[in-house]
Amino acid sequence: MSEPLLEVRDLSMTIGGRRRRRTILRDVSLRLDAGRTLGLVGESGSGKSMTARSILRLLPAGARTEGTVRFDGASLPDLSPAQLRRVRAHEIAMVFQDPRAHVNPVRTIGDFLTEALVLNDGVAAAEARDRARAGLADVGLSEPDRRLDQHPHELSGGMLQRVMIAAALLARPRLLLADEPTTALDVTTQSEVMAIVDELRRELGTAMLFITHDLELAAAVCDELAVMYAGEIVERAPAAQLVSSPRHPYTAALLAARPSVERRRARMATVGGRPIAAYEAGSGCSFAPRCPHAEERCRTAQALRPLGTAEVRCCRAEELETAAAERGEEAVR
Amino acid sequence: MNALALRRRPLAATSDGGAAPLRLGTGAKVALAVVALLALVALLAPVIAPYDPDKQDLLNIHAGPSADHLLGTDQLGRDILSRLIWGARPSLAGPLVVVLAATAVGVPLALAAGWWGGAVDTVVGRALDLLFAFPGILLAVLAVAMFGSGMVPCVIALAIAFVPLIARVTRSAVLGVRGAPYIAAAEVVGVPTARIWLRHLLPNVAPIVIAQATVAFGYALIDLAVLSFLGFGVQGTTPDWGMMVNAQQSIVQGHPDQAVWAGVLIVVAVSAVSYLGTHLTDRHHRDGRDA
Amino acid sequence: MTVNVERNLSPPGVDLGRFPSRGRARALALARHLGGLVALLLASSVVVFLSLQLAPGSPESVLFGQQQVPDAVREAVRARYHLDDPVPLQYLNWLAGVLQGDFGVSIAYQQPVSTRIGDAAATTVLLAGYALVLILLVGVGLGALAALRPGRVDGLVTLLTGVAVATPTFVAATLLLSYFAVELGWFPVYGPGTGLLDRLWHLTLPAVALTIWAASFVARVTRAAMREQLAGEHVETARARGLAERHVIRRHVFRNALVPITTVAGLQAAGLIVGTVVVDQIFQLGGLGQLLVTAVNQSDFPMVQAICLLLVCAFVLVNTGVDLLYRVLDPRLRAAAGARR
Repeated sequence: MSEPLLEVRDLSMTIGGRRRRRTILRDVSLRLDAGRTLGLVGESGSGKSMTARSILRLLPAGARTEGTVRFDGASLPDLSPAQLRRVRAHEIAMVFQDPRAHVNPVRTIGDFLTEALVLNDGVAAAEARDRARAGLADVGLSEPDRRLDQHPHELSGGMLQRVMIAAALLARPRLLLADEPTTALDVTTQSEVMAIVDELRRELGTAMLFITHDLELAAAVCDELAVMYAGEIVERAPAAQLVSSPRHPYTAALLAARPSVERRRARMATVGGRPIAAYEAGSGCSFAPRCPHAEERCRTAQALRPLGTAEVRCCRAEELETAAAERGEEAVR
Repeated sequence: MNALALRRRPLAATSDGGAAPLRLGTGAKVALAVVALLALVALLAPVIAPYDPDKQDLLNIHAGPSADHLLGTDQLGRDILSRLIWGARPSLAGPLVVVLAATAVGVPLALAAGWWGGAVDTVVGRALDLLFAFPGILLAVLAVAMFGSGMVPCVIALAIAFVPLIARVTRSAVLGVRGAPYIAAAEVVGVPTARIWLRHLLPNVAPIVIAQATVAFGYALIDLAVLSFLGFGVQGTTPDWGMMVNAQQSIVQGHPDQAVWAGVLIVVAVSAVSYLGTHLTDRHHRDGRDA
Repeated sequence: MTVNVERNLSPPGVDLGRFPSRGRARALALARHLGGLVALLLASSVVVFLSLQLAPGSPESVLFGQQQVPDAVREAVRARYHLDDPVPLQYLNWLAGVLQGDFGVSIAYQQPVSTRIGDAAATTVLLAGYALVLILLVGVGLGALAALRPGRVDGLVTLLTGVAVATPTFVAATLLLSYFAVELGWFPVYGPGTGLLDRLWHLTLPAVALTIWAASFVARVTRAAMREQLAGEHVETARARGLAERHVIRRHVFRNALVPITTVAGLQAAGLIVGTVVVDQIFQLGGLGQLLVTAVNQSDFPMVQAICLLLVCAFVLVNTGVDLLYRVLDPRLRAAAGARR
């Protein structure tokens, strides 16, 4: 097997002062090959966004990380500031959730698109503007020429997110970190923006780490999925398999909780209890307090272990899988 | 969160006439203590001042600190400490009158503008804009040019100049409360306007008005001190701190003592008051957000 | 490279990015703004004029006091100051004169007011300009330093500005005078000096006195504004794109913080107009302030009117200028103003 484009191994992160350190991430491991897509799925606070940010070293004040993050063979935490800037400028780009906040409101769209080209690569202003114009056309914005002179408040959220995507792809990165790029948009715009990201990414051969709380959307876009809970990855599997036969009770619960046209029910299933943060988790399985299948041995630490083509962090995964299969057969009969 | 709960809270805190406990941070408590101490000194001046502030002793001028004169004497041999103590009276009473008068005029104007809106709001707004175009001190200088020097024209002019400072903040607070459901409810049920103003509107805007008035007190203290310093304010031998800072002759002769002490007192009073004002304003905004 | 999705997001005719006659709306807003400004200036002039017109005691009584004067002389004086005209006519005459640079004749000096005011205004403008430069350099500099160097530097700056912000200009001026001019003798005590260099030398201590309070204020706002921007999401974007830190600070932190900084700096600039009156008096610089105080004490009404009008106009113009600059700096306000009107 060739070297992966991105490899994260046992990434842990804590934040806070000397007295009270809080765990945010626990032993997160990921791998992503060039040109492929990995979906990172979880509820808010599960640590998926922090995982993406710690890859780019966009850490909150007082954050400490452990573990390895390798991009194309280079260890990102060990890079000098200048080297890190080069990676950010040319190799890895990020699209954020809220374009309204993440695009500088007092500068023009043209400024936003061209500044990286001009300041990082020394591209001449006129040429940068031409490329920015082409980029806007690529993401499907009408009248790109006029947009360049407009300010963010003159554009809708969907248009602005397209601008951010155009900006991210202008540098022709090899990896795109997309942090809930469609969550702040309204439903009809969501699918359009997602389609643009996916299509452009394919054309450019860019790999993508797609972060979302929407399991179905992730499954539609990604080759592989990883589910996060309380700062750790609880299950990893090829996308289709994870959705059709979840191995971890949490994944199963997430799938049961989504609204569905086929399965009509009087009341939608919910996951009991509230999601916990990484620092609230005890030594055992972090999902155990909410898990309908929890038993005594779930109080001990769980490791992410291979199970078929998947990896799962649950000691009862096999039993539950068999039980599910039996129930499925009964339902067919 | 429901808007009712949000707006009721300050109402409950103020409507029982300040009986509700005043929750203040440590810094604000210190500031309050400083203000209280200064006020006490002003009130008790006849009792605690060791000398008559006007008693001259021409044989003992520019004396340094001693057991007899703790802070020394000025160019006419008058006791500096006694003059500072007596000076607290006009220095603190002046701004107090300015702020009370500005509030008494500004708040009703703002209530009317914010409540009725439309033409009333436009007329009041324009008038306030015009007033705002005049720096308070300049208005006071005009008043002095008209009526001659003295505390009265200065205080009246500053009170007028401070009206927009109070009214603008009050107006926006009124606008905030105006749309609250319980006000609409009271109107629908036919509660008389005057009653709504007294029972609901005033108690709700009171905290921010008090905070703003506190901040304004600091400004008024400085402005009045400046006017006295320029020779337009307090007249005659009655000292006030601003006038005491104006001791050009003594300073040039190398005796800045009374100017320094009066300056320090002004700085202390202003910082205490403005700290308190900022604290109250911040707390008001915080309460509004948290609720 | 094309993408196969619906390109036009908005329904026809509701293009979010377009305000059909934005240029005209903006011009209209500007015209309204200027109209309001002229109205405000006129109203101010009426106030200044009337306040002294209504003052007890006429110019004659100031000139002649209790002494007996022949009626012919009295008539001549009344004619000279147009005292027999109806008040509105007097105002219009005065205003017409003012617009041509003629502020009438000083009662105390028996010279045209404008000849007296010219020199004094030059000194005051120089002092205010000097102080403004210092305020911006020191205030923005200290504020930025505190924002970018958390910890000890920040703590020190916060402490210093905390004390300075409670020190009124006239107290600072008095203390500076007593220490640096009298005690140490580093600076001249009085007077405006002659020649540009000497004049700047004489104006240094007064300018510093004006700077202390205002610069602390600007520093505090600069620090808070830059802190807020540093934590902003758009700054994270800039960092994520690999921009060098100096570009991030200049283009995204400082540029955005300029909006609040401009507001306070503008307030301070307007405040300088009154501040110079005080400092001028303390250091006897012979500027407008000293002239005004003298004129008030002498009941020299034309002089008081002229100086008050000049100061109020300067105050209003500075405030308007800041308001306009503010719109240039923050495009969101431009749109809001256009949409509201």
